[in-house]
Amino acid sequence: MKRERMAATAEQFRMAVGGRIDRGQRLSFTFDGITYTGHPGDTLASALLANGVHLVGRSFKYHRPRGILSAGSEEPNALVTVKRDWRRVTPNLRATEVELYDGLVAESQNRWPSLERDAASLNDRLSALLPAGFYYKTFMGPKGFGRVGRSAWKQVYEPAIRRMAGLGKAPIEADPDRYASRFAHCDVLVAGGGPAGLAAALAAAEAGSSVILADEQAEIGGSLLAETHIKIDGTPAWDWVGRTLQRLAGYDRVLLLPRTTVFGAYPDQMFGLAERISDHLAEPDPVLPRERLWQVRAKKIVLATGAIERPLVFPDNDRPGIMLAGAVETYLHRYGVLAGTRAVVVTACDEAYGVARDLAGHGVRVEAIVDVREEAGDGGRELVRTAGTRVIGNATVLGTTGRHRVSAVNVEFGRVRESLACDVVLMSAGWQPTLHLFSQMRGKLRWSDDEQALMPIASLENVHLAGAAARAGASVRAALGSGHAAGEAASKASGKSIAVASPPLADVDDRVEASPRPPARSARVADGRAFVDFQNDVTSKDIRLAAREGFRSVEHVKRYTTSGMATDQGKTSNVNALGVMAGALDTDLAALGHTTFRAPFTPVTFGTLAGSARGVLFDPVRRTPIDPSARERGAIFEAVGQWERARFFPRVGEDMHSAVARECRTARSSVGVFDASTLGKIEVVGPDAATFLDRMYVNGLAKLPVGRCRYAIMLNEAGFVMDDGIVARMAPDRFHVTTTTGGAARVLAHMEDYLQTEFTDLACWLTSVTEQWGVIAVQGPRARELLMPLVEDVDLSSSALPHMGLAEGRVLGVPMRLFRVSFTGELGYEINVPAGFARGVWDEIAKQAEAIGGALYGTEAMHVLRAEKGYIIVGQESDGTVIPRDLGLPMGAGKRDFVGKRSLARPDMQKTDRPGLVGLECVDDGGPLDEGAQLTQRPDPPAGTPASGYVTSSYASPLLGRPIALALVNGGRARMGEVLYAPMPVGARKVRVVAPVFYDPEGARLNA
Amino acid sequence: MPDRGAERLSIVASISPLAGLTLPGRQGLVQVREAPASGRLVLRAGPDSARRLASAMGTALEGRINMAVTVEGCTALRLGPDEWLLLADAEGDPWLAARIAEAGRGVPMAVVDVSHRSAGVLVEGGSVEDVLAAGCPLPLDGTGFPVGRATRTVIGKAEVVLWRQSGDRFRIEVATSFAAYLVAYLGAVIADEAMIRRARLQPGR
Repeated sequence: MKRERMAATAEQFRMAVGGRIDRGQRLSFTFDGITYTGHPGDTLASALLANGVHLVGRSFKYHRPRGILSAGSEEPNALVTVKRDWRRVTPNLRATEVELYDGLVAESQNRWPSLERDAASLNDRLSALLPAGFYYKTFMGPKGFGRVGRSAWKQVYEPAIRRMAGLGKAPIEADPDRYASRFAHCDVLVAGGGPAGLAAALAAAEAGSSVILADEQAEIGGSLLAETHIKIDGTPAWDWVGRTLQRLAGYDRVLLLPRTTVFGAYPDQMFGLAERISDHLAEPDPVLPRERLWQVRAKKIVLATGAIERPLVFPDNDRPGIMLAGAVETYLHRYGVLAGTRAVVVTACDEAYGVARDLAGHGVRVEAIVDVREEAGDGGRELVRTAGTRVIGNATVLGTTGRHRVSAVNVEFGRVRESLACDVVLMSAGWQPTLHLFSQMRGKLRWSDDEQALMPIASLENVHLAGAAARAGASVRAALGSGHAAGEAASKASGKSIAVASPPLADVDDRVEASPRPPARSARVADGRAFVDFQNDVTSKDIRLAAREGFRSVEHVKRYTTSGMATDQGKTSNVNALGVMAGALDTDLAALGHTTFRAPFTPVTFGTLAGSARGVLFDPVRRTPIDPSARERGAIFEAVGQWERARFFPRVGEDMHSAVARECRTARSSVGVFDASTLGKIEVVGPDAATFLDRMYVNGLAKLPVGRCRYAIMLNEAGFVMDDGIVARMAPDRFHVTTTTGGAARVLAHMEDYLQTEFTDLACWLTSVTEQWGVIAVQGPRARELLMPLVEDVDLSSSALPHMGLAEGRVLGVPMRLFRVSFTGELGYEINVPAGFARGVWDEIAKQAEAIGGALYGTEAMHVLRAEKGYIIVGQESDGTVIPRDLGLPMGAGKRDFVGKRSLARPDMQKTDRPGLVGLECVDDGGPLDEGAQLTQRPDPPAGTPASGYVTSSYASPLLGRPIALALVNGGRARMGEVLYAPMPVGARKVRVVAPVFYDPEGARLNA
Repeated sequence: MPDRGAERLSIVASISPLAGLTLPGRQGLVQVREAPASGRLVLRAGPDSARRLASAMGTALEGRINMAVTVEGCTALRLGPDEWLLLADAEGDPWLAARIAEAGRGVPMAVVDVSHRSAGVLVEGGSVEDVLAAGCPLPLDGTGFPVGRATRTVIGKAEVVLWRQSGDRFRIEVATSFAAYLVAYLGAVIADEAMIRRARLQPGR
């Protein structure tokens, strides 16, 4: 629905002067299709309020109209979707944090057809049917509903509820933006750039520390940006902020990061910071990264994160126009915006009186200050005495009226009931220090009656609290002092202790300190729906219901009611929830405990966390030195772990099947050439190298002669096969060991582990040479003929270089290690050349091979060729639970010990019905079996019948002209000749158990 | 003892793992270049063995752990208590391995030729610390990573050996199959860094 309407009147709630906005420049933006104006320096929230817009969203569960509650990152209500273009749609942004730019397009969420007339607001009328935990109770439908095994919950209720409840729509298009990352290290990280943070950064910088100061807002300055009365060191607060930032910027070792949220604390003083780089720009360069993830290792952190004001819990406390008192003050002083013209202040602390005074001073009619405390402090009354504002003490708020905007507050005091007309309500129940990071770092908090807030039980090493984070309601003077002290102490603790100047001094101690505030629990709550968690629509009734139903732990109540589980993590609700709960359980707030805060402090985009790891940079793609040549020859590739390997080399008109068949036939009849460079290679060198390998492999290697290779199996401690490869003895003290492609890193780590912890007596060293050598396998009856003219210094005859022999020499003038080994069953060689030469050697060998009728082959043909011979692939024929005997391999003989040997003696390893490697012959005329297919004794086993085994490898064998398969079958070779079935959706396949070697069982061709 | 083969010309040429890759760079930020060709050896030897190699290696093995010492065209990067990566000036220097073998006769040690295992990548320029810090978790400032420091670490998702050759030049040794990734990664972070700096310089930001 396209609508373009202009707002009726422009910024009628913007004051003529004041605020930090740039009045010289007018920005145009739309909200739900209506065009409004604002200024640089505005947030979306301040600009909407300047235009008199309070209704900005619908609530999560009941679809109640909601407005702007706060002026910062704690905002639970004003969540909007910002649409920059069709690919850049970001839901669930807090309007209080969205910086205004020209052309910004924002929309409200969770409403249909429109914000004013939302069909789902019916939920609100049905609220009695939707109590806390309603989805646990109501929707336990029949289990067999619909298809087997799918409950009604999964099929019907959950999808419906998910559609109904919720926030903005997740974008569908791929994120077109770039995201950067940066590691940084500093002595002192200061989280928060208010008076305490600035003073801390300054002191730390003076002391010689390297400092990073991060602040989540566009401008650093925190509460000082809404401060118009105070002078610091003789200059107005705003000027002091500017001068201080300039001074800090003058230090080489100070980094200022505005628009940067310290969102997470991780082990060893690692902190995650999300920096917003381009979201505030009207037309950012498309290649400018949108955000940047900072991973900061800080010796010390100063938490100057301020405090969050608590709402009051009273019936219908969620109407648009009901705002936190401090937020109203911020909109007034920082943005030059009046949140309304007729105000009622509902408070449980004295500070709100000051806001009332300020509002009155700016022409707002303050109907009354409704103090819900039994004994209001005199400090508050003193503040408004000269203005003559009406103060109603010891009052109870009965409720509010107004559909899309609050229109009156109904209060009761003494025996009097009164309705106070208004268009804005300010509420304040006091302040809770923002200790999320402290809690993330495992710092424990406990309710303090003195502070009327959750406070740290004990200090944390490496953490310094400052300002309002250290003490709720700290004055600017106190914040500057504690910030300065924290910065100095943190520096000293990190070893930097140049003497620092005295702390900045505020001219007045502005805040009314130590005003008595009652615990949240004793704020009397009348009947009605009083919201505790605005974002998740949790009321005080829900929490009392949880208490009645037997929940006692805060963690359980949290999960049952979902209080504090929204994207705002209950920044404005947690303490009130605890208060209501303490009241319901008639217990002490301090005894109740609190839930732990988790990272992130505010939501972080997936893009920021992913950084550059997308597309081609998602994960390294490893290619062999022969890769470019294989590409030129039209190879089709497959991913094998991180490696790209040539799968087959189709010729004109060939599909994969025919190409692989030709490659196999050529290797059997003539010669095939294969890139085996990805094989893991480890050079094991030292006087004890033979002893070491003898202990690491099942197969005895101590007596392996120089110039010979041996196939060897490696077990893990549990006795299960973990890798296999060729061990080649180059010299008495030097071995060239190969591993599987996927096992290279694991095997090296396994060996290194044993060498460093178990076999410390052995003098030998391991060096990975996987990438030192390019490996070209030349396999087939004509392999020798092919190589003969290309090699020097090597006698290729079977007598000089028999199967499993090795030689060093040259190929095409390049030094090589030549192994006579075969993974095809044919006469075969593996030529190892230094990687840089591999492509040149490959090209020449390929040319010569093709000249004599040979062919290149890829991994697919390699698999078929080895399966025809019954050679296993670790990870395919083994699954981490098979021992060598299961695979028909030797178990190690005599007294020689090796890793895994003792596990092989366990009774379970002796059982005769262990899985054993067998071949399968298809009795029917079908194609290859499905790998992984289960094998059973009957074609139609009833559900629940255990399988007799499963297919591990299956191919069409060009050699035999029929499908072949390898399988692990219980009982193994004892079942030779038995008929089994592979039940498939289209019917069972009938197979016969045969020996796992389909070709040349005597090995005559190997030794040719 | 150089074998007769060393004098014969290879029929095929050695191809650099960086061949065909566009090496990124930005004026005034950093430039990525290929390091001069060099031979590489891994030397593993305990303290007693290392001392006995002095006749072949001079003082090259006497550096502290994670520091590089250059003696007569051979740089020893000490990567661990008993581990050095030796970089020799000319590729495939048959003499160095032979000299060590000669000096180390009967000494328990391991020398393995890894000349073709990795690619040498130079990253040079005034902003080299910022560029590498995009993906390297170590402190890279002059105090945390002084000239001469050499250590195993990661850049992005590639394991590397990082060696600071001068104030504004680092040499990265990266396994050949990771070289293409590393170059692409550096290209991306250099572009990002350049864009962020340009955005910062524009007024009103």
